[in-house]
Amino acid sequence: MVQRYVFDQVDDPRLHGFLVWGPMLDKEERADAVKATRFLNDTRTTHFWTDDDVLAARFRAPVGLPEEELAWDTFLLFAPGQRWGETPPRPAFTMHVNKSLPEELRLHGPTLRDHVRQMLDALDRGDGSAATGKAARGDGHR
Amino acid sequence: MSTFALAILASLLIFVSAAAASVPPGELFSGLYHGYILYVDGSAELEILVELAPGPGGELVGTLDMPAYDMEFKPLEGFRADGRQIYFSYRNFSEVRGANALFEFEGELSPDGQVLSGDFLESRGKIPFRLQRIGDAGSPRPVLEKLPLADLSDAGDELRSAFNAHPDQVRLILLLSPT
Repeated sequence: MVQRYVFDQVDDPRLHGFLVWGPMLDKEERADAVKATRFLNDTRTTHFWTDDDVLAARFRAPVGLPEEELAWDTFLLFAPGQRWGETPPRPAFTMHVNKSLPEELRLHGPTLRDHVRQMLDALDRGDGSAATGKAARGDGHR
Repeated sequence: MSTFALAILASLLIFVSAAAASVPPGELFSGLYHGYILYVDGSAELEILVELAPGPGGELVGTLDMPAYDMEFKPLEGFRADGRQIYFSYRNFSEVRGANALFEFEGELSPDGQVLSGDFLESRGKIPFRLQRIGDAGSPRPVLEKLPLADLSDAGDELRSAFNAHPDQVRLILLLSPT
């Protein structure tokens, strides 16, 4: 979905994707992730494998998920200027699959693509950092 | 639209339909097609490749690939064709219907022969599908290259470093299961 609607349709070198593959279902193995890299193999992507839930737990608060929910199956968009400090930054825009987040943020490729384009357009206009306020801070919620 | 223009249009439609009907189905539908079963357009789409070709006796034969399920060259069966309308099916395990369940495609080929679209029939009912012709039957499948995979420490320091190394970029982080 992200390959088809975002990377195939946004031909801009200022976009980069970080794929973190992990054991969301407690059964996945590294070899599964090796195969999965085929499905989002744009040269603007970097793929990682983690064999535990630590990172998915660390993103719980920035994404706005309840305590009992990990941030697997989330699609997190960060604007230029956002930095990751002691804790992961809050995404400027989030989409998800079957999480306790607003229904209108359920993954929709064209919507995610449009938000990416809006950020890139802001860069073209010289709007500086497209991140504002709390989302720009690299230290999560306060 | 004038009566004369309507008559011309009707004649053209009859001609095109007759032309399709006169071409053997094995030739008319022959090709390698790539596309998606659209469970939810833009949100839940299943990528497929369908290859159709004339068999030894001119009848239709074909195979199906579903890359997400590592399914390659699954034999298609039950072919029926009527003009640009086509039906074919395959059998596979279904979580709902068990082993050897029937999955069906009912579609229509566009007049230019480039798009095959219609309905995919499975336990959830009719799901739209749309395929684009990407080559002749026998063409090489598109190759999906794997990318390098780096191991992440618990704290995710490698990801943090990579994220902060591109502060001037629009960045996506996806946290996903590979299965």
